[in-house]
Amino acid sequence: MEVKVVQNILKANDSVARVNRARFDAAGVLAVNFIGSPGSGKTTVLEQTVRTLGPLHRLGCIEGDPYTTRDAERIGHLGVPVVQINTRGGCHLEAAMITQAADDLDLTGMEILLIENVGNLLCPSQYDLGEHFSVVVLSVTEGADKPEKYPVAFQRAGAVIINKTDLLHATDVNLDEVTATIRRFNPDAPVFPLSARTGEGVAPWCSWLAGRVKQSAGSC
Amino acid sequence: MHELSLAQSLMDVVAESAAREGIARVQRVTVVVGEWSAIVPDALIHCFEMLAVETGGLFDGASLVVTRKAAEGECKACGERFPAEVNGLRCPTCGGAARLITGTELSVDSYEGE
Repeated sequence: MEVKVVQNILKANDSVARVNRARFDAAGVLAVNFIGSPGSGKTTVLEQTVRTLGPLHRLGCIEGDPYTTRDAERIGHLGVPVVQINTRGGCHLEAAMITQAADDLDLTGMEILLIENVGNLLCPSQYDLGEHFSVVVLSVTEGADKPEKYPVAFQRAGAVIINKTDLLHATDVNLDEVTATIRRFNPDAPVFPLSARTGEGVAPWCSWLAGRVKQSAGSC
Repeated sequence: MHELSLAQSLMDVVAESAAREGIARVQRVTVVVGEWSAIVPDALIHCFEMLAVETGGLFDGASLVVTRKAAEGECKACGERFPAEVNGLRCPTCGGAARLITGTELSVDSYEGE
């Protein structure tokens, strides 16, 4: 006999993600999932974000990495509570990993939880972690065609950062063209060109993110 | 890249339903996979068959059929529907912003068993 099921394969992950999100909402924490290729500069973007917003907001961080604790150490040095998740070769974070990591963080009073996903533009876009939105970190050295190659990551993003603008002169990438390509897949998300290395362009990104904290607090 | 864990998840979904329906042997499972779901159908089939042999029992000899679903956008302004693979989420008719209506599916559609 044939049995009709019509059920999402990722249902188990999605329901854990919903519980995570409810927990963040109850604690008044804005959770943000950073997705990008290996070497796009996610950790450097987070360092700059922590330097800018750390004095003004209570931050926390969850670092996803296949093997090392290097990224967590970098963020930890800035005085932010951080939990490392090692996926042991796994290509993405899943909601249950965030549940465990959140157990090790004190969410009381925390305003923004920065989650750095494993460097990969494919699978992380499929797994809801319970974040309020994702941010794709794209770097100009990756070329202009990433949004077309990885449409889902861009389509689902709440914001897109174009990093390494200090290296624009060394590439054939045109910022307006990349932005237009991103817009084709995501007409609504704000796009922030910046250099996490020099700090140029970091301020508008951080003030936008800080604005989201106020919005989420206001909606409670 | 994560087809093995997805194959396991889809078998969990089927096993749960089969237990409810009193089905002891599954012959064929049909899943719907959107073009934008970042899944390689052949890899998913390979992982499914491997796990089916490994687990035996309910899935002994079972096969997996993957139905692909194209990514389709719908313009928020004029309502035009168009293939998103070609146009992204920008309406080819009026240039308006569109939403994705299909293309990210990842679901168990049905299965056959006895």
